[in-house]
Amino acid sequence: MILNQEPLLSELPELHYATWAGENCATALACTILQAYNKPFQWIFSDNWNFYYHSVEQISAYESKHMNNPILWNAHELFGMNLTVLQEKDFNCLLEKLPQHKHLLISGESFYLPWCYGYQTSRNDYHMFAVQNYDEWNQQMLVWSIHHQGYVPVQIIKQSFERPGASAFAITPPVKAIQDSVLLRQLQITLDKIIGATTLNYTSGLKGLITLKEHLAQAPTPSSAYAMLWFVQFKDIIRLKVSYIEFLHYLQQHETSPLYQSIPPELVRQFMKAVSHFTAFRNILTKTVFNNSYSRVTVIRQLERAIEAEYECANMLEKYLLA
Amino acid sequence: MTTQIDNKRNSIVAIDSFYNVKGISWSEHQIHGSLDHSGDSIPGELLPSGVVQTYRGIQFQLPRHTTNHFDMVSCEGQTVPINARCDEIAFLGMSTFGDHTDFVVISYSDGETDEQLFRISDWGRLFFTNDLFPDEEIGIIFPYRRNIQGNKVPYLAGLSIQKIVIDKHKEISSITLPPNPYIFLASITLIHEHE
Repeated sequence: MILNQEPLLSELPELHYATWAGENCATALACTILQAYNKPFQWIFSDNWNFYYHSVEQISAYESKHMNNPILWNAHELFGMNLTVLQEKDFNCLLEKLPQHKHLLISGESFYLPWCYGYQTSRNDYHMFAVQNYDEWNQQMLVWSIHHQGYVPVQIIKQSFERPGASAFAITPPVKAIQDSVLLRQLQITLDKIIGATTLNYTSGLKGLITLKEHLAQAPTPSSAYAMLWFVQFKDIIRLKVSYIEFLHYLQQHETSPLYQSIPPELVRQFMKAVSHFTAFRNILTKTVFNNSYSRVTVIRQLERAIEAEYECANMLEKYLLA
Repeated sequence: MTTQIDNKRNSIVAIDSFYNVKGISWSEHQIHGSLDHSGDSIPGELLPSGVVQTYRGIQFQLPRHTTNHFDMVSCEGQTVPINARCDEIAFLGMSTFGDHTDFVVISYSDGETDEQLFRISDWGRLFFTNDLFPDEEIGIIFPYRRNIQGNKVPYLAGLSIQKIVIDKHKEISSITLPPNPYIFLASITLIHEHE
C-alpha cells in the first residue's frame, strides 16, 4: 500500500511577535492546519491573557486543573476544527484508518522521536505530530512536527505510539468563518480577564496577581522547590500571554484583520510591557532563590511593575472599546 | 567608556565592570560556569577569550574567560555609561529559558530618553527552529553546551546579535539594560556609519 497525497502541512506560519521556539507542538500543529485551510490562525490566541491563582501550589494559565489545551478548544470554538480520539492502541490497526482520514495526529512518547529534546532521555513526555503517506514498501511515513518535517521510518512512530499515554486523533477540517461579533466578544473577554475575578476556586487576573503579591509579602524566602514549581507554571502563563500579543499584532497589521491599521500601537506596546515585566519578575525570583540572594523587596517591586502595566492595559483597552 | 577601533566604524563599550555572572566554563581546568539556575554554561573552548572578533561585519570585544572571574552581564537594569554618538548599538548576547522581549532605555546628554524594544533569542533557539527574531542575526554558533556536571550536551546553542537604531545627531549618555536576569550580554559595540 502506498499513499502518496499532497502534503497537507507545509511551512510553519509566520509569526511577528511570538516565536515557534517558545510554542508547544500542539499549538504549532493547530496553527499550521488552520493555515493550510486558509484560516487566520491568530484568532486561536484571542482569549489567552490568563492568570489564575488557585493556591500557592497552583498558579496557572488555566481556569481548571482539568482544562484541555485552550488553543485546541479555540480551534474548535472559532473554526469548527475537531480532533476525534481514535481508540486503536495497536499501530498496525491505526495504519488501517489512515486511508479514511488522509492524515492523523499522533501524540507519541518523545523518548523515541529523534527530533525531540527528550529523545532517549525523557520518559512520559509526549509530542504531537501529523502523519500521512504511508509507504509500505520502504516502511516510512511523512511526518509533520514543529521540529521536523519529512519521511521517517515507521518503526520509530510505532515505538512512540505504542506506549501508555500515547494517543491518535482524526481531524475534522476547520470550516467555520469568524463572525463580526466575535471580535468585540474576544476583546471584552480580554478586558474581563485582566480585571480578574474572585471565585471559590481561584482569584484571577489583577486580583490574582495581587493575591500573589500578598503571599510573597508575608512568606519567608521561597524554597527552591517552590521557585521551580512557579517557574514552570509561569512559563505557561507567559507563553499564552505572548501568543495573545501575536493576535493583537494580527489585528493591527494583517490585511484580513477587521481592525487593520486601526489598533493604536501604544496599546500593543503596553501589552508587551506587561509580559516583559512579568517575565523579569519570574526570572528575578528564580535566580535569586537559587543563588541565595533573594530579596523580598526587589521581587515584590518587579511584581508591582507587572501589576501596574496590567492596570494600564485594562485602562487602554477599555478606552479603545468605548471609543 | 568607549574605545574606537582601527576602522573607525565600531567603538567598543567597556562592560567588563558590569560582569556579574560566570557564564563560560572550562571543565578540564575546573573552571565552572552557570548562567542560570540550570547550571548550564558556554564551553570556553568554543569562544575566543579576551580578543576583538568580527561577527556579521561588527567588531565585538569578547570577554576574558580563562579565569574564575565573572565574564558576562546578566541584565538587572544596570545603567552603562556611553558618552558618544553613533548610528546603531549592537549587542552580542542571548537569553535562557525562552526568547525574551524587553526594553532598553537610551538616555541622551540633552536629558531626553528613548525606550526601545529589545528582543533576544534563547541560546538554544536554533535547536528548535531555523529562524531568529526579524531584527536579529546569528553571531556565534556552538555545537554543544555544557551542563552543571561539566558534560557536553550536544544541542546547538549560540549568541545572537541585536541592533537598535539611535538618533545619530545626539550624544548618548548611557543605556539602561532590561531588568530580566535571564538576558545575557557578552559585548556591546557602537556602530558609526561612514561620513
